Amino acid sequence: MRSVKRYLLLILLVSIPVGLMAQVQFEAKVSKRKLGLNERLRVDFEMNQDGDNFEPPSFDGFRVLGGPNQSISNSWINGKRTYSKTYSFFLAPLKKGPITIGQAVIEIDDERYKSPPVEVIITEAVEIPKDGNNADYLASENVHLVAEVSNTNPYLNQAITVVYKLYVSNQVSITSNWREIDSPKYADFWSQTLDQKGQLKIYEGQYRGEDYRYVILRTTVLYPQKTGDLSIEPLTLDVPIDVRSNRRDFFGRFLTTRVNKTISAGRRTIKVKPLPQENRPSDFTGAVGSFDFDAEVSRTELDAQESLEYSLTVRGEGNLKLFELPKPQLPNAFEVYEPSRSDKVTTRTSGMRGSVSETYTLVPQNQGTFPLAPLSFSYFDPDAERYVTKKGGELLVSVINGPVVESRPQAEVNDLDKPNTSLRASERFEYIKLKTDWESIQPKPWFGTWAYWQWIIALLALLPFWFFVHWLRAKIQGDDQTRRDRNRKRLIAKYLKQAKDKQQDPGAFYAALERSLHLFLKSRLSLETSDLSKDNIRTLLQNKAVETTAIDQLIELLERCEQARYAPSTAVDVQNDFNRAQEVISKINPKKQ
Amino acid sequence: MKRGLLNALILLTFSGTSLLGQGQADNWFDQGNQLYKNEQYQAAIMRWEAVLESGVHSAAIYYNMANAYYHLSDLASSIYYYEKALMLNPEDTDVLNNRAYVQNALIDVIQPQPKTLFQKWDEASGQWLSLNQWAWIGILSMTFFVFWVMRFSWVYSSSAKRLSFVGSILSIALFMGALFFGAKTQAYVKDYRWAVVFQQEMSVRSGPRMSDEVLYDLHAGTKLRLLQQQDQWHEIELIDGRRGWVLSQAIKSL
Repeated sequence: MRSVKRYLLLILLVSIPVGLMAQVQFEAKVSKRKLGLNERLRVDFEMNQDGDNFEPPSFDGFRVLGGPNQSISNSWINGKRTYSKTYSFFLAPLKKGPITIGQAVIEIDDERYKSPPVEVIITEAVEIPKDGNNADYLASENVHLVAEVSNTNPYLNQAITVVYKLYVSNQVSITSNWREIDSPKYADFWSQTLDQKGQLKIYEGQYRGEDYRYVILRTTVLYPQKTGDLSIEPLTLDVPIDVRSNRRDFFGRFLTTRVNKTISAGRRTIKVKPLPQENRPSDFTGAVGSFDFDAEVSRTELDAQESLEYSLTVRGEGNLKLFELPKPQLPNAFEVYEPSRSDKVTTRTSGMRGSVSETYTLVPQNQGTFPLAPLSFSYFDPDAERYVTKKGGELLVSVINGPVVESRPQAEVNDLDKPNTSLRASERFEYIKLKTDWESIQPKPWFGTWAYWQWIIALLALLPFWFFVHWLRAKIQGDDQTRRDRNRKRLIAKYLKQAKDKQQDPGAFYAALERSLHLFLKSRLSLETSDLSKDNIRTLLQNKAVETTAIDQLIELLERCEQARYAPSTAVDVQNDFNRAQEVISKINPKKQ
Repeated sequence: MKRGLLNALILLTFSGTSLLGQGQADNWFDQGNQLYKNEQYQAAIMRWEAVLESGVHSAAIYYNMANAYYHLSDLASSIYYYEKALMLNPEDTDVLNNRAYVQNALIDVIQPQPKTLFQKWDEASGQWLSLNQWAWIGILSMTFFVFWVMRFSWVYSSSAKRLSFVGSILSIALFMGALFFGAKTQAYVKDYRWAVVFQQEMSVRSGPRMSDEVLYDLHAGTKLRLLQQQDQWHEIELIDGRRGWVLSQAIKSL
């Protein structure tokens, strides 16, 4: 008995690992995970070991059309046993929405096992109820064309990639080539399609959580050219799909059915953001990406009429073909030819990359040093979401030999009347001036100011002042009459002084008197000495409008002087003649002074 | 009245020599010249700037500064100072010659509008002599007038009186002329205010608003005439007669 117990223990010990190795599987399988309200669903509860006391779930939301149908399959292959026992139910859904099929319970080797709950989605009633084994249905369920958009919310002109992938599940296969029915047209996009060359590569991937194989049919790089909602038209393919049917041929292989299916990648909508307005540089021409900017000349020293090349290059990554390069501002002494543009751009899945350059041929006409203004190039960096401005190097071109000034007229008002002849004289840039005279930087305005007019008034005020002084002097010296008298006395005193002194000597007196009279006539009446004949004196004095009596008196006096020289007279005569001379002089002396 | 006269007197005696720091100005000027010779243009300009800040200037210093700016490739400043030099001395051949060099390197070429003889004469008369020169001519001719009138009352002979009369008439005519041309020069100085574009590229618009249409572009170094101003905007006229509005910050008035 004891040995029996021992054997029993041994058998138990041996049988435990066998039981552990044959792991129990109890699963619930549904024919579709998504079905219309008018379709049917088959649920299989499958176990890999024989069990008893199967308890189906309640199937809430379904009506049980058939089942449970029990089937057992048991096969030995190369000594390995495969066993399965299946309880099948056919169900019709009663309501829309997701329904969970609950857990079934089975008892295997005194253990209770539960199947995992399964969720199915019940949709609207479909037109043609699909048979789970229909080839068409299987083909459409197992082949998917997907357009993957790298960025559905890009900036204007930011590169996005659309990758078309054809997903094929393991249940179907595609053995012959497909046909493209409808190619997408990318309106409002700049597009470049990168077709896969040669054999398509097959990748493993997941589609909605299930394992699929896929191929990349095509990659398109798009640069949106408009903001707002832009739609990408779908790509539509006619694909021959081989679907495995349940029938087998003579050799036990599954028969396949070929179904031609039109599948299309759904229409995608892309929301294109406009580039930000704030901080937008004035020289922004629409470049989006990441760039470097360069400006260079082929040579910096040359003679006039020789040529040089001035090239502007933008290199980097972004919408290289879609913007304008900055326009250079060149000195007017340069002849500028139309630029030649060269693009070295390759398009990859990430977008365009390479360089774009414009080369200008310049021919300087004059000598001099010509700074080429620095150019700036601005672009929007979509990753950093800001504008970046790159400056092109400031360049200096020296033109060594050549004319300074062309016959070009000087653009100046100042020089209008003067041709440039004065400039021709010097054919070089003049040195600075080393000497200077300083002026006040803010000259006080003088002309037209009150101070200026004060000066003018002051000068004019001198005139009344002058006349006032004149008048005052006349006043001090007395009125006209007294002045004339005084004048006469002064004259008489002046001319007759000698004669008066010699009144005691008649001879000398008359000689002096005559001389005095002659002197008086000469000085006062501008008479010439040589011409002192009496007739002449008379006419001259008459011309001067002297009174005739005065002239007669004078002539008489002169005659008496002549007589006296030869016939001496009395002292009475002397006194008398002196008085007469006084009278004559005061009469002849012009009244107007 | 008295105070005004005194002011005028002070002005007369000190005009041109009222510069206390002349020796210092000369010193800085020479230092700048030396730096220019050593091709230290920036330092030279700083010395010369100091001279200008001391309150004196001359055509030569502006000319030197313009040359230094040309060597520094600052064409707008260069043109600006050449124009300043020409304002003080419009005939200077060195300035005209070097300015021609710089004008070659400018971007804009603006052909002057042809003018009628009268316009030419009108503009030339405004630039003939400086305002102060006309003022002096006015003062001198008035002095002569007073002198001749005094002499007229002084002399007795008719020939001398005739001479004085003619002299006084001529000098009062000269005085009137000086007033006329002085007023013309004053009007010219007031009306013909110039500026130079300093911004590398500048838009000229049809009105003083950013929303107004852009008529054309101008580039640094272009000389233009200022007509009127509203807020931040200047109305300008080019020598070819084109007009427009520009932002005041883009230009620098002479």
